[in-house]
Amino acid sequence: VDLDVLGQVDQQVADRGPRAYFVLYEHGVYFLLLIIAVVAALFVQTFATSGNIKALLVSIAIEGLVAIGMTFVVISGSFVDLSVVGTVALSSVLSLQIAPHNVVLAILAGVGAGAGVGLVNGVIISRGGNPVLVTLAVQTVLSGIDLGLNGGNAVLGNPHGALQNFASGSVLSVPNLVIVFFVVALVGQVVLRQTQFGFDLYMVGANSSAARVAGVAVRRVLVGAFVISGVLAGLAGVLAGAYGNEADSNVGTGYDFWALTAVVVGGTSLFGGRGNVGRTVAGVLLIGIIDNVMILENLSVNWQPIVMGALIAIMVGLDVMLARRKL
Amino acid sequence: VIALWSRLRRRSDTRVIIIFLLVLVGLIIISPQAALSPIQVLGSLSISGLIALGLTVVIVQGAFDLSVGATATLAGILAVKLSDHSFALGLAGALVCGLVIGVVNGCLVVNFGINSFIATIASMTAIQGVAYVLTNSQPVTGKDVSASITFISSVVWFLTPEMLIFLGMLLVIHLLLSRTQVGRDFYAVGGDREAARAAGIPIGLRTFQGFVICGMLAALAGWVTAIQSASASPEEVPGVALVGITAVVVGGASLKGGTGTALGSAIGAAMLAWVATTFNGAGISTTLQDLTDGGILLIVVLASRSGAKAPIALRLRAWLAARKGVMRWQ
Repeated sequence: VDLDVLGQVDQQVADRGPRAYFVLYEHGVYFLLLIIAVVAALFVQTFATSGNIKALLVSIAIEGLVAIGMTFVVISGSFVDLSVVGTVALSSVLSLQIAPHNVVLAILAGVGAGAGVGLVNGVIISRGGNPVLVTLAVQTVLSGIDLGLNGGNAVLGNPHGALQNFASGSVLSVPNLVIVFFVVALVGQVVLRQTQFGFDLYMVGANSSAARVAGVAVRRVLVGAFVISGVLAGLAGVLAGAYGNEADSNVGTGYDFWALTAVVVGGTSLFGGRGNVGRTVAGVLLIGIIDNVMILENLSVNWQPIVMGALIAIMVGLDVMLARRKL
Repeated sequence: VIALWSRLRRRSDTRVIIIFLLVLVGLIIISPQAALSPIQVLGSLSISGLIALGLTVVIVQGAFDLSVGATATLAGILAVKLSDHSFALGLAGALVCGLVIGVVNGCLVVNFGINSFIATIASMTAIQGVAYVLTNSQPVTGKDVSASITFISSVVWFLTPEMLIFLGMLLVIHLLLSRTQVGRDFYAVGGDREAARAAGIPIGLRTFQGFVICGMLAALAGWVTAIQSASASPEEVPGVALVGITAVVVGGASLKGGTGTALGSAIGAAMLAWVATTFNGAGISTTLQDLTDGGILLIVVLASRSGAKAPIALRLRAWLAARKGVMRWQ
């Protein structure tokens, strides 16, 4: 019933209820983002300065990449990819180690490691493994590998290497990291909306057995979703290593929940089959602004996980209630 | 003997025990000295065992609780803080903490209808945050440690208090699951939800009770950990949920719900504890330990996934039977 791509069901809902309610439901996250941004600009003094906005965008760019990848996994109906933490650490260490020898090879190694992890996840999950447990197990294996890399020591890069220069550089005073984030978001949105793979992904997420009957290669689509998540986590790892110029097994800590919160806050349904990258970008910006304001207002960073956990619970609860009303 | 064997074979626990013995033989081959220290194993088993017991009650119903690690952390912090006033208050505080978290998880899953994985991921994040706020991200230590020293050093025969607590809880959960109506309801809810609903079982209430029991056992595990060292750290203890879930699944529970026993989970936890103790004793690195933990869970998930093929022995028997049939036809 939940075929977002067809839009028919949405139209029915729109016909049934008041128009304003429908608009608010479909586009709530964008309104929320706007309201929070305006409130922050009005009431937090240093918020609306170009320096702060730039810092805010840079702070969300790397985790935002992970969130874009997670969007594909969530739309496919697989809940979450918990292995991104280990993937980010693995690829950041690999790329920093290889970067002094060959920059292209370093990037390829980081992204390739992510693709490999995604492939393992995807193959097992598409054959009936529980996504949460499989990615948790893969995460544990990865954390073991990460601890063993480079003898457990942090890798320090060359502060003036090509990768490092790129990560801290900017074009027309827009930081490169931010450009990468928005370009990847755009490509992701195009893949979701304009390709056969994207169409199939919504079908699988909405109802995988119906998709199978309709002739969709369900297993291949699931593998594709996890490979995308792995590749983007790998890319995030390469950039995180280059930006911080230091990599160890702790680089990706907390990225999994951060990304999941961003996806869910954006309104992508955990039931699968609904949502898009634009929503995730809105969710990423929303969380970025909340974090930023908390820092500017000198609230202890300890409060951050509480806010994130509450956000996930509220948004998922809302999602469930709306889904019930709809069906 | 044959009758006894065929009766034993039908019990899922028997299979777990056989796997356990095989693993044990393997461990003894790796390092005889490290593997043959059952008292140490029992000591390290108590905490993961308590968590596995709690998870059993939830997993049997086809639900999940990923927040057990964070619950144990928070309960440990409360225990250390409150133990400064009185020892009993520390225990009470930890248990109330587990109760509250269980109620919140139950509400999220039952009343709001959120998938239990996601609900407990959310509560885990929030609980971890509360732990950071309460301690300002610093480890806490108890001021008066005399009570906890008395507690640790009271030994019955060779059983330390934490072992006694674990064995007691094992008995309680075993009786709950196998001898009471509530326990039978748990299996019914996990086995076939619709049938359970039709049979008039209060499904929501049972799921709720499962989360409360799981939360309180996790809190008890946190309390024991905190009392042992009279200190607690807000840092996330990685792998608590992982080891617990692996123990339960190794112990024969299906992730789809409806199967699993307290005894099986305890044996599963014992197996993991034995592996960890042996690896520690033999000086094997944490890298390899993480790899084995993740590997074991991966294998177990693969074996218990939906649509998994029948065990090799069964497939072989079916193949032989088919061959025989073909030959007879020829």
